[in-house]
Amino acid sequence: MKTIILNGSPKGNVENCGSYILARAFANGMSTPCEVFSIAKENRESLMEAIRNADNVIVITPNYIHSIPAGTLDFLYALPPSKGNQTIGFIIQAGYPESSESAIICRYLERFAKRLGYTVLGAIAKGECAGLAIVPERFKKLQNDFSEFGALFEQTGRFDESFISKFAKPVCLTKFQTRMLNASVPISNYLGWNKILKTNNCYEKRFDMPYLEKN
Amino acid sequence: MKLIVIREFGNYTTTDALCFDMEKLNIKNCIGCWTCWWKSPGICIHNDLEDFYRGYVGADKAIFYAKLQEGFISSKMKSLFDRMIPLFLPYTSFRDGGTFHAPRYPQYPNIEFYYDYDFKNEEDLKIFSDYIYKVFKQFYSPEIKVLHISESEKGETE
Repeated sequence: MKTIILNGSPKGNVENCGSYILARAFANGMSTPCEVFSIAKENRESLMEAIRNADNVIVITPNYIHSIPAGTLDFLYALPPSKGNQTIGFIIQAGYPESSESAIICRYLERFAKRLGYTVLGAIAKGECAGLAIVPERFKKLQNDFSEFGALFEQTGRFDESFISKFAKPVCLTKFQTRMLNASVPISNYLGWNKILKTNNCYEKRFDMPYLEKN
Repeated sequence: MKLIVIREFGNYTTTDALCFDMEKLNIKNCIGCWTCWWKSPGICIHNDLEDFYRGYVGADKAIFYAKLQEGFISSKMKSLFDRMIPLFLPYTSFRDGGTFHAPRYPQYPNIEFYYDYDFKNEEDLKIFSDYIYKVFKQFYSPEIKVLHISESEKGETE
């Protein structure tokens, strides 16, 4: 059974790409070689040929504006219909803590792939990936989970339900989580965005409104 | 009232509306570089949408005429949505069970989103409609309407 992974990030297969990090972890869990292709950086017709020759296609992509990046969406619109016995699965990794950020596009992608005749493995939403591309060393556990998830997929031909629900947590923020996260905003801004803005010498411009016309 | 019209089909417009034909716009895709958040706050690394940004944050209402593809927005419209990130701040707050980026501008337009597509079933329409509401709720639009093009009053044509 031939499985391929399509990385849906515009960044391509580079070290600072969260989707590529997860794709590589998933593939590393498998005993048979599983190629990771970049939708953004590789020839579209070659990718379509790779899809036609695969038994299982797994798309791992970031969430952009509650959906997938425009270029990845454009690619999926051109996806060939299943040749009859192909499976497809989607994994959407997102920056927000709650996986519900990706719930709508997961619903859409499942129905879209079914219309093309694929057996759908599932559309999985994983939140809390904001720092994955910046500090991947802090996400070793997630990468290990993805390797185990990949190994289980190879053994069973399915997305493991326990991992699906584990990745999805929290679906929505509880009131307690909301309070805690709002309370932590000043310190997370100080250690996160503000630190980066200062490093880039643009902290003073952080609230700029360059397109506001003065009446 | 200041209006901005973004259209993928037809020639719908209204007097004095600022009009953008998606067909004529060559929108580069967002590349996820976050330059607009951490290097040049509010300004995208691409410079092909400056008139749109100016018109959008200055409008009271934005009217979209969207030609859907596979029951969802076109990839070009998606590119426009992706490229609206500079209009918001990287900072987040949490409410209603979810996360929101903070507004960068004092106000954002109300939305009328007309689509030209015949959905075969209610679930597909709901997915599309849920998506548009979710996006513009995140984009701080106070009023959001998602309507089939047959419900448009069509305004004036050019």
